[in-house]
Amino acid sequence: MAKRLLFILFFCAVIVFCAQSQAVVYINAGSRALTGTTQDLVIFNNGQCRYVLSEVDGTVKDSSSFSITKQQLDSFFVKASQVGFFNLNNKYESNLADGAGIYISIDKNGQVKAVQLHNTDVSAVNELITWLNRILVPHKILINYGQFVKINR
Amino acid sequence: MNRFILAFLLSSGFVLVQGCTGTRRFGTTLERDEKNPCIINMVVQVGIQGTDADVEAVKADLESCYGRDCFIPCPGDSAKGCKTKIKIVVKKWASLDEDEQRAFHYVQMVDNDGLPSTAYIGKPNSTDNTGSCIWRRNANPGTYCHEVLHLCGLYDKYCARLFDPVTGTIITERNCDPPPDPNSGQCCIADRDLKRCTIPCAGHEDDIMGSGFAVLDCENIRDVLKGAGLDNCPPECCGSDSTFARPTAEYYIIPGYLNFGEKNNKLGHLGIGVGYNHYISPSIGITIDAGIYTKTEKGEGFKETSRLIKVTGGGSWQSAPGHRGPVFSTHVMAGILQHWQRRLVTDVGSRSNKTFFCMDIGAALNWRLNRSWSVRVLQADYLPVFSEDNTTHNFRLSAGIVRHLGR
Repeated sequence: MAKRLLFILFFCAVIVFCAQSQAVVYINAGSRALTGTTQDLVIFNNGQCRYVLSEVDGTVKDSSSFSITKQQLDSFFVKASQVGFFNLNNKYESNLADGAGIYISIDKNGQVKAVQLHNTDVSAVNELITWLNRILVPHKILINYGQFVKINR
Repeated sequence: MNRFILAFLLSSGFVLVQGCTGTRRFGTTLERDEKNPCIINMVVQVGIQGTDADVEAVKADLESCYGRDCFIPCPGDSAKGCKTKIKIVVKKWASLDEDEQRAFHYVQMVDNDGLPSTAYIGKPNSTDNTGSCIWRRNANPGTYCHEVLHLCGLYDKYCARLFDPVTGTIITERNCDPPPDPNSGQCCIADRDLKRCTIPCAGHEDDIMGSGFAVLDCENIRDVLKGAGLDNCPPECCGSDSTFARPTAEYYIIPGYLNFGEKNNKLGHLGIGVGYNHYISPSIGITIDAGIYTKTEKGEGFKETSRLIKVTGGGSWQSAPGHRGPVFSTHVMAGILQHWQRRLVTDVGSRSNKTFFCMDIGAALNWRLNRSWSVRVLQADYLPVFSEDNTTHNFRLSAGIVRHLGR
């Protein structure tokens, strides 16, 4: 009887743990070519974050785990709604080859939306990533998908 | 009538200016040579919005990549055909006047932030150069070379996938064109560990447009020419005496004389050398060369036998090969030289066997008899041999025959 109880408790603990570590935000920013670096950021619903900076061939250049507060995560969701992220198209592309891009996937209480950008600017995405970059400042992470470089012709 | 004359004068002036400055009208120009229909000229003009150092760096990178010729065979005889001549013009954007800027691809240099460079898909022989590129400074070798191929009209040849941990699904970033993607359309495996993956499209594993590890190949140049309908050798070339010979492999046998550190001896070693040359372009080849040379000296109660075995490998260059006549070539190789020696003095013998590192820097003059055979009129080699104690300076003189393969 005790064994069965222990098993049920363990099972419940696993379920609770899994439920708490549900990925709710995923950002993949950087290279959209055969070379260059890519940033991966996964934010879980408990505020836990995993960040990896790697080469296109998979070689990891930097990685870290940290957490953001519940308020910061909520503010990110609010910002996503404010900028109209959930109403954006799924994909925005330019006619340029190679270069950089970003993939953003958000699950806000079951409202799921993913947007891809390649060598182009969408103000709503810029605004959202600017907000996120502010949250990430203490962790010395700057999501870069080429938004800082402008054609000067 | 006056308008006609004005238009004529303006266009003549434009052509004159183009001719004087050497600037072509298009960012990417593909054309048959005016004087020789067997030569296809490919000229790419890149205007750098950056520093003088940027211009020099891009120029050096592109020249090392595109400094080669490519061969296009005649339809009826693949041993002869046309040749491409590639010229990459790199100038500072600010140094170009407004007319010239229209004939240059615009490239803006920025500091390297780890992101890849970009380029637009250009169209050869088009005046529409309104697109702009961003190139990162200090990019990996081959990066600018890849981007220029985009400017010449080529597309990437790889597919990419992304794993989304929020939805647990695999997202298609790009597909192969034409389909299907490798691995039965699955492309590559993106998962929780490697969230973005890329893989070359089928048949493009060694293609600079499909793999980050590949280098420029003549197949890329032929793809560019295809876009302009110039990937063939026309009858007016193939029926003329202006064709170029396909670069084929060749081997040679050259008896010769090798003078090896023999300051006091009148005669050096005599022997035979053999070699194999594989041309990777009409002018550039990879060469291996081996030889065995012996010498025997006799005197009263004295006999000395000496044997040299030389094995070297390296690169070679030959002047534009014609079907007949003289062809000049040079080579630089490195390898080993084994010196075996037996000395017999009043029935008392001694032996020695030493191996040295050596180099072979030389030149040769061939006289092409026909498609299969050449006479090597003379080959001269300087052979420095390096030992622990010193370096000896040696030379070899040879002559022989060359057999051209692949006919």
